[in-house]
Amino acid sequence: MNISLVILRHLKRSTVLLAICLLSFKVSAQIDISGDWDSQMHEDQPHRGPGAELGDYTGLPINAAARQKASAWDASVLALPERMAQPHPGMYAMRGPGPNMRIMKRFDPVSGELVAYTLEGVFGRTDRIIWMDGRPHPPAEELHTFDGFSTGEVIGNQLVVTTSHMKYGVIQRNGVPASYKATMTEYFIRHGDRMVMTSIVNDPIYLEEPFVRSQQWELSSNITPDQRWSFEIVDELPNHRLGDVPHLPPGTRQEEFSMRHGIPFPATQGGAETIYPEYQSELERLIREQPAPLFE
Amino acid sequence: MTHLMKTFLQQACIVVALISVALPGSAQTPVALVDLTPRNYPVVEGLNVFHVQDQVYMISGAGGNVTVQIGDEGILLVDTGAPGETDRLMAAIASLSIAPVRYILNTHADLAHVAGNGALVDANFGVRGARPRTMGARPNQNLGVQIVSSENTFTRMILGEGIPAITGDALPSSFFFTAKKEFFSNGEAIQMLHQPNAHSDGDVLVFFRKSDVISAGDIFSTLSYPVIDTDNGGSIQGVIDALNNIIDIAIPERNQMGGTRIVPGHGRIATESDIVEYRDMVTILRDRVRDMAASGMSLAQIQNSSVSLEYDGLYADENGPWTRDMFLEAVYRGVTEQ
Repeated sequence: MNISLVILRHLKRSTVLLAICLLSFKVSAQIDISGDWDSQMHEDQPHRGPGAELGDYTGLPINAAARQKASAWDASVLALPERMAQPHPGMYAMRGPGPNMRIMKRFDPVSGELVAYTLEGVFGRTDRIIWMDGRPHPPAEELHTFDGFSTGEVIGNQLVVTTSHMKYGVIQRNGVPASYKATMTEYFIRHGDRMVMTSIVNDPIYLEEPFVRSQQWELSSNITPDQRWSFEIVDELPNHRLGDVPHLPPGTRQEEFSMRHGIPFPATQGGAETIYPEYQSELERLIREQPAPLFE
Repeated sequence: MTHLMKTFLQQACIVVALISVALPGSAQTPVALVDLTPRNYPVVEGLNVFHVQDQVYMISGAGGNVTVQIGDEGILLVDTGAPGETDRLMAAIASLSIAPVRYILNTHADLAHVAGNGALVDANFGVRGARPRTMGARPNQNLGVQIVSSENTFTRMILGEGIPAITGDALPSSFFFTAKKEFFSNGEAIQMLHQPNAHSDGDVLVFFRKSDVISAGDIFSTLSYPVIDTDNGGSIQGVIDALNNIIDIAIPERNQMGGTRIVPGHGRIATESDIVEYRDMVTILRDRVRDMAASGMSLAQIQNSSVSLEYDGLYADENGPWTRDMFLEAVYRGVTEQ
């Protein structure tokens, strides 16, 4: 009996000690996005894979300035040597192609605290760092990069990432612009081996309201992130002169998308109004009033 | 070498070493290997001090951006800020190095970029060389500051064309009328490249060949449409040519990232892709204004149109001193007065 009491006391003491030890550990993040992630093109595959057609601005809350820039965009500009190897900027990089990503954790070697996530594999290998140590964003005059400057914090079961200091880029690969004043907030949520990331782009220059999109990945041991670290620039135009900049005149109507799919042209031009259900009645009116399509 | 000079150089080396250790490298390092140390952004007397690349720094907030090269030989400055900012500027420079200033290179004559010339010369043993000195004899003609500019910039300064006349030791003690001037400073080649008829008729780019940094002066700004001083030889085509020259010189490290850094006259540090965006904007607007003028539209009609709608939010400043309409007028003059 004495032995049992001793054992019981030891058990109680051990349990208390164990509880103290567990409570003394800092409450760890409730989400871990590290791993190799296989991009799931379950949303917007035609836009993210082959790319949106010229003149297709559907679903984009763009303003008149963005529309004018997009309609004047000539894809030939990408043949310029100084643009040929340009990666996707941060506000588009997570959309496509892919990306299959490798996300790793970087720890402080002394404290063991998580300092950053690194994210490799986006097109053009404008790899990202998500700083998790509370460091501030740089001053406005610091260099902007294609991946931008990202900081993250865990809120509940989400990793919330805020990105600034991105270079000028696009939000869609048919010339729809994003300015260097854009900022982005991303919400990473894991559901087991699946991860959803919802991104919200705010751009005071080109967007009428925040632009919300989502993309998904699945954890995989069988993917290879994009390994193309450096593209070779090859001048493909023998008569090209430095300073020639392809562009279309202002007011150009990119009508092919509208005509091919029988969508009234105004409805293809984006704008916040067009992305809400209330636009249906306006769309119906436009369909009633538009001439018969010239081809199917 | 005097004891004083030795002491200055030793302390300068210590400062350089400390800064080199504290800041991460600028190469396109794979993210898995990037230094985790937070980057330092000192603010000295309200001025932001940025490490651009290697031994080149940028000080912003004192009028036009000031480029600073530090090293064993002393300090080289590109431009010297606006009136009333020199004391703060000197404090910011001293935070980088306590070595004396030996060179001041002026990219152009605008007062927002040259107002500190005189005070900086006074504070650094006067004018260097065999010129008659205003401060009396000095024991060592290697001390002091040499101010260098293009001949056209010197002419504007001394004649006060569009700016208050600059006199005495604030004037360049050396100027050149050829396409370029080259010398060595702090272990690297420096090229001053004249860009004719750009922002003005005297603009130069300053290219730090080893640090791989270009100081662009007012040829490039991330905050406004290019200022084109048409009364003093500036032209839209000259600006476009100068931007294309920067693109020709600059080389990204890979995939349009990293590599050559460009310090603009105003605004943030840039790489080649930023220059490409700006060049494209200026070229497209020139083309549009030219086409509109050719179709018979007047300047007022062009200014009242949406010709620059997609760029106005980024570069138009209706409070001035350089407004969108002034820019369009300069472009209009450039495409119609050929």
